Amino acid sequence: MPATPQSYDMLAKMLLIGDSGVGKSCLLLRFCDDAWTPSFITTIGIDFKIRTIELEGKRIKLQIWDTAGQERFRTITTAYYRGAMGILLVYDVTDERSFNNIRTWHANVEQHASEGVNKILIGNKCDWTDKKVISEQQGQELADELGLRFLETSAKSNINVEQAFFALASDIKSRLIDTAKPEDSPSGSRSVGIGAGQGDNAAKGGCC
Amino acid sequence: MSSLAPAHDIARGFDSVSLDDDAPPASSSHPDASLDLQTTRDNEDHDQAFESVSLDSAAPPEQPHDRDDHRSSPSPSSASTPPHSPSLASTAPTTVHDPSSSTDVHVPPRAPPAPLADDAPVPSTSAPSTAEPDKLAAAAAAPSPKKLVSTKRPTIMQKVVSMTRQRDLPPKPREEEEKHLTMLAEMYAASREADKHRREAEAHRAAVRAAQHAAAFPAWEASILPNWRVVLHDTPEGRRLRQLWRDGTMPTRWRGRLWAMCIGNGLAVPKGAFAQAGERAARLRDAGRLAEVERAARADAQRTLPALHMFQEGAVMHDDLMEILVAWAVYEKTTPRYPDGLAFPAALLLLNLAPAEAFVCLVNLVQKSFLRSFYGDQDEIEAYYRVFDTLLADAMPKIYANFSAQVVRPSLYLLPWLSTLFAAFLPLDLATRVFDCFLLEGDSFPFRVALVLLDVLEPRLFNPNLDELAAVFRGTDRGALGVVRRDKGLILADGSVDPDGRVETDEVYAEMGATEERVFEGLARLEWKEETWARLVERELPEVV
Repeated sequence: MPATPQSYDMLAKMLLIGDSGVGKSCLLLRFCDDAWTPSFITTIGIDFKIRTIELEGKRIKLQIWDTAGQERFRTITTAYYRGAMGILLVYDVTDERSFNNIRTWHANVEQHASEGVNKILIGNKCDWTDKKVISEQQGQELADELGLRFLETSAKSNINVEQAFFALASDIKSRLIDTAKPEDSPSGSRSVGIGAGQGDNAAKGGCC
Repeated sequence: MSSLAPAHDIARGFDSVSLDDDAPPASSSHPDASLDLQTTRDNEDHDQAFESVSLDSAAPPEQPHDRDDHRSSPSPSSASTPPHSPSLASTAPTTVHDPSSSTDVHVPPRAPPAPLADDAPVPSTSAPSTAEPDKLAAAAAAPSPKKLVSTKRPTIMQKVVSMTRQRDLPPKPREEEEKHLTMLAEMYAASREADKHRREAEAHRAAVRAAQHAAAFPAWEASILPNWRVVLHDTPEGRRLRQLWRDGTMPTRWRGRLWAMCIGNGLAVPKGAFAQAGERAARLRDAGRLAEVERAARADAQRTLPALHMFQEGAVMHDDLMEILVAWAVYEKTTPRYPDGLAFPAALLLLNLAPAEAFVCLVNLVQKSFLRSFYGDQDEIEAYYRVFDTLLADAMPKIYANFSAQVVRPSLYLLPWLSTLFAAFLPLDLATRVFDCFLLEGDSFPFRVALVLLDVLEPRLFNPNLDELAAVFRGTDRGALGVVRRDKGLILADGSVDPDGRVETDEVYAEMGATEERVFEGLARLEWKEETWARLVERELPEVV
């Protein structure tokens, strides 16, 4: 960990958020390990995976946090949202409840995440057409209402998974790298720079 | 109340019992019955019941028994079994404890079939059993998430012997047995009812708390956040705001900022200190002088809030935590050292603050609180023990006397509690609230919490066995552990414990009564004189004050 040569241009912390069972962990597994498992493994506490992607010539290291859908402790929300740059709000297209709860999750994000964080709405399990209860249009409408990007994905059939993460990463990149460098106030740089772990090296420059 | 609890626990175990019954064909019970040559009349009843009901219903053989229950039934001795049972039922295979286990088999069919029968309505004892075969079949067909307590059909032996009396005691008359079985059934019903009430009350409390938080939010934002010292003012407004703080309504999103403001930076730790400490640590590491510190810090990190899985090796905040701990260990110290427990306050800070800020807070907090002694000076720790012993002898003389007799020193409980600021033992939300109040009220607060915890644990503290007392404090008390395991469904069909299932220390503490509500109620009730505390500290630690 100490003094690893910087092998990336930007470290981006992303969060997967949504009800338990919508497939957050499966999306993560598909995106980072290109794997899929049918078994339901409840995430314990907080898990994370890393994948470095290349976007328009920049190497972006994505650190993606995955949480158990139902938080056991209200006190960890701060730690979870701190420094998050992109958030994937995930529901299950075969589960209306998970769709309806997106509003709650979104409100939660608004409350705890730093301002300007990039978000995307994901309707997962879209391969499961005969069980589908939330249409693509409904998803799009909600996304429009909340001002989010929207994609339907399937971790199982590997549909749109890459696209979802890349789209979000690209939004983050254009927000943070492309749009000049307005050296933020300390609070701003704090929410951006602290990617946890190795990110601190980057943070060091920012906050001193 | 305590006498009710066990029966209750058993019943909770039961609800799950019926589930994993894969409805063995009733006919299979027949060979047993025919072999049963010396059946008593009582037994024949059972057998007939089997024939008449279960044969055509394909329901598990328990069912007829259950019907039987209402005709025959249990006992005062049943009243005497439950008190022993919680731990037994939870840890021991059914075969060992006939009285409780065979009753296990009898009661469950009444329990609703839903996997976690908890929220389904409980059929009254007079419920017609006609509907049950279907339900049971459904229960059997439903995928049972986990094999819970064993539901073996009653053995021949179990049919012969009383269900409500230990085997080594003389038999009791049939009427008595019936009466006792009825009473037992009533107890189960009552305990399920109590369970339901408890859940409702919990939901209610959660709603009340959420409302309380929401109501307090504007005051925090408008009055406390701009100048937190307002809560120290001795004015009506100051007292009102202080109460909000004590009530645990500090908004999660402002907690980091408020903590940092409260702790302050009296030591004037410069902004670059964290990074510099990291560099120094790297040099010491290269020189091979950091191995011991890192080993100890890593071991501590490993046991830090394991339920969150954020600080363990490979987890998302492990590196951050290690950096802070190592930085603390080398910061302004000629010889690096790591004190056990430091990872816990560090983790609490890290959950609410960015690493560099958390580091500054940690350095200041340790320096200006009792933690400095607890993390450094054995003599001062001993002095704090004397202070605490005095308070304990005063507040709870009986516990103090038993502790003295068993040679229980505060090092057994006070040190682990305080050096981790309770975060290794209490549920995180509670530990966080304790931390909030510690910052508000100062050093004496954690000691008050320790007194209250002893009060909460009191029923378990008169044990004449030092090992068992130690187990209570470690959170490995057998009884409480058993209840938690059963509640979490970690008891497998054969009575063994699910090897993949984890029980966290804070869950055992919560089961033993250390819940947010009770602890803070206890604190409110505690007769506390800050002057007494100050006088004792001054006496024992003259150079600290």
